[in-house]
Amino acid sequence: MDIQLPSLGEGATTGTVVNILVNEGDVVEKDQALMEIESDKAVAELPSPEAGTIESIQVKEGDEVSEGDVLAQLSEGGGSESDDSSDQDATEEKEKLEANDTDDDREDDSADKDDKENEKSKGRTDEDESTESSEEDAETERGQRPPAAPSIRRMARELGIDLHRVGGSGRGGRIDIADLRAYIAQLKKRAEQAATSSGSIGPALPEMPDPAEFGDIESKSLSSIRKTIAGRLSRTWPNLPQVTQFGEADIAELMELKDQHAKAFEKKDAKLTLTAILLKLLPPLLEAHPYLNASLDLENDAVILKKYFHIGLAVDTEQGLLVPVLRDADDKNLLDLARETADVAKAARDSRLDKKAMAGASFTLSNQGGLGGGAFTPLVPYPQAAILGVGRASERPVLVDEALKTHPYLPLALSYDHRLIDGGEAARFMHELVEALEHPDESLFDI
Amino acid sequence: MASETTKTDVVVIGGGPGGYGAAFYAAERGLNVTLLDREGSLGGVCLKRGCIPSKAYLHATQLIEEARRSADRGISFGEPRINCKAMREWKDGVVAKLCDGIEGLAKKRKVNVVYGRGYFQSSDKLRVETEDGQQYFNFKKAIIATGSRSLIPEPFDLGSSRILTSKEALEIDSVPDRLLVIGGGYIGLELGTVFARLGSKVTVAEAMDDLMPGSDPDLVKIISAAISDLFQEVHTGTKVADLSTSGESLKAVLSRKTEDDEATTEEVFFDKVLVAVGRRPNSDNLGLENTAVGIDDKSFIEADASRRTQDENIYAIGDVAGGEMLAHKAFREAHIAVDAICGDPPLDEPLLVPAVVFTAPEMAWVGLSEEAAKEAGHSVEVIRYDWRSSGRALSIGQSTGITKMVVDADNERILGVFMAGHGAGELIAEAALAIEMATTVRDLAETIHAHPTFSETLKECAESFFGISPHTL
Repeated sequence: MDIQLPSLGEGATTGTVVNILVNEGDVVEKDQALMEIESDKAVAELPSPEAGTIESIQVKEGDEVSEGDVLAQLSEGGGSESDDSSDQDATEEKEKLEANDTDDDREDDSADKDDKENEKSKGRTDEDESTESSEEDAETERGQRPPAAPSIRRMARELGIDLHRVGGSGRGGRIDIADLRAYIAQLKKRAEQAATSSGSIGPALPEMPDPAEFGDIESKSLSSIRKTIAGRLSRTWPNLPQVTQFGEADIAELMELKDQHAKAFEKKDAKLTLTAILLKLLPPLLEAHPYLNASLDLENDAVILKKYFHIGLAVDTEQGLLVPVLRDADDKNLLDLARETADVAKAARDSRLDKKAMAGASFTLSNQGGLGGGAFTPLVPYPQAAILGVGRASERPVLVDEALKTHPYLPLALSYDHRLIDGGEAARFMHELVEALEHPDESLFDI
Repeated sequence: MASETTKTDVVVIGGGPGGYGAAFYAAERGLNVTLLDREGSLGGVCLKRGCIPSKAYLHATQLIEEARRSADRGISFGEPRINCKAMREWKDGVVAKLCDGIEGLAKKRKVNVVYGRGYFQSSDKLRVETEDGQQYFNFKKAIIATGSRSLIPEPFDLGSSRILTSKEALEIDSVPDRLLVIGGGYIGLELGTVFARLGSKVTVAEAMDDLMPGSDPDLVKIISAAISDLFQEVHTGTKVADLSTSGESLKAVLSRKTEDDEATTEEVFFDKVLVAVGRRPNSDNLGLENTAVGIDDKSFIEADASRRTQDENIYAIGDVAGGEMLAHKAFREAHIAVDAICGDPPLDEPLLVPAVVFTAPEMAWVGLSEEAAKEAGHSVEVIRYDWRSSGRALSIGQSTGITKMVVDADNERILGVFMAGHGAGELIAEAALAIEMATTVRDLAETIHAHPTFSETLKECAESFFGISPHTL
């Protein structure tokens, strides 16, 4: 049967496949999560409509999908695929035919042995699994012993495995030791997958000591955004060696210019911000240092240089961090950027961002200045190569023409994928950024 | 009298198959075990006045029947001379040998055997009344395996030595001329068979409409025919309305309903009466009121699948805990209880308990009946094999028999096997293994069974599922 994208609810008709949790050939249970679909800001699991085997998967991670799209093919073992009794009969008939086939093929058994062994490791989708699909069936199935020898049943009992869930490869669905091993291997794989998928967070960490022993606690389940963030970071951080290059810029002159031009912006209903200025400064610098506006594609031994400058802008919202993208920042003047910055930030805080608005950044800017943050080390958002973190400027005494004055110093932090970018490249980029901030060109403010 | 308190990991109360089975297995699993029996020897009802002696008598008397039948085959014997004392001594010898064997095994496993009556003082303390006075045991876990005893309804309990239960019937000192067996269940039929072969005119009265109530009707039909030949009278749908002594005899009033639904009564005189209407659990006089152990309305101790009672320290197995009153069931439960005590995961499946009735021919079954299988939601197909097609059965003149298999038509698994016929009690083992191993009829059909043997009946029955049984149409 086809597994289609169901309605995502709340008016959403499209989503993105963020995670595929099963492989072709996997034996799945009814309601087992097959993939994760992200729509707007919610990540929903796609449950299997029935028990069976995943025949094929039509989508890959990152694919945009619409309601009704066929995402995968599921073959049911038989039994109870529907309440339609004629269907049921047909399935039973088919099973009988299959059983007869097995018998006719008996002579070839030894020749086919290797094939059979392979099949075994895949498990089987017989009635014992498919009947899991409805409570009633599961119940009657409980009445019958799982088709396995007493020794296998004891082993399953000791391992805490419900044999009704194990596909048997033998005649009549009999479960042998190889089936049990295959099932355990599958469980292990599933557990490992779960550990690295956004469904659960992080690879196995040592068991957490019970925090309740030390005082009152409250346990809250994670929001879907938090789960997505946590899952992504758990996957990327250990796999992305990164270094943070610090720098600081005396922005006294820049601030002076900013104050001079602020009025003009206000007249045009825009607020001139340091963030907008940074967005204006970044594209030419990135153009000069293309590896910072790139992605490393290790699978193809390639670096993908992006000819566009879509800057992700980290926005702190009540729900969590959202990163809307300002497209083609290099084509925009400061007024455009100031307006757009304000617009996307508001959209983010009003939960009005759709998935598209947050996709495709080639570089990211995270300015914590407004929140009062100092220096920090941002994490490179995969698959980008770098991110610029900006803290709040602090006043520092400086000698200007032998007079002691205070100037605001802006803390800068450039985190970069060290597999792609060397320290020298990062240092040069940082130096040029500091230069651009300390000695701004007044044409910057042309609107 | 000296009284002492002994500490023990496990105390097992009752030395029958369940009890000694539990004690031995617990000892093998490294526990310190005390085994109590109130009778001064181990073995319980099974060894001393149940399975073993009844089968000894059934075997001994089978020869009489065989000898009679062999006249047809050209071999004639004279009338048998029966020496009840010698027969009893032989039986006692068999029993003693087995009891001694059990005791020897207990010693080897360092099980502390104590003869005396056990009485719970609390959930971890047992008082034992022995010949030498009281002993106290502090236990971590207790297993109650006190079994069951014959039930005599009050109207039949006349205090007469002519009224027997299975216990007295197995101490045969004479062969009664006229014997009434009240109850057409397996105990009544087996012991009735022994006496009929020895020469008694046996009448059986069964209140239900068929002998072996609750058993597979196809099997019962075969057994009923054989019993009707062997016994003087078979009265089904018949109650013993009254039983009284009448001089040297016992007078029974047999009451049954006619077709017009009117009660008719008949007075019949007997020399002895065997009451075989059921057994009751030995759950009384154990001090259970001092524990959290619960009993049901028929006095059986309530236990879960792991054999644990409502008292977390106390387990119950075998007859006293209900279910089929069979030694082999008690033996399996003994292991389940000990496994649970040792912390193994609880059993999550019902027991598959074969049953055998040692009549001639025998009847035996294991697994789900057709009705039970349907109730459990299987699409059921029942296949039958008539033993008249068996060369082996014909060649020993035992061709009356049937094999029935209850098969799940969807996956061809064998769910139940029902047999009546010579040696069915031995054949049922293969069926039990087949069901435990989740065997399909195809598996059984394609397993070569030696010819000519009774075991072929199973194979041929399985083959009939595919319409390929060579000796039937």
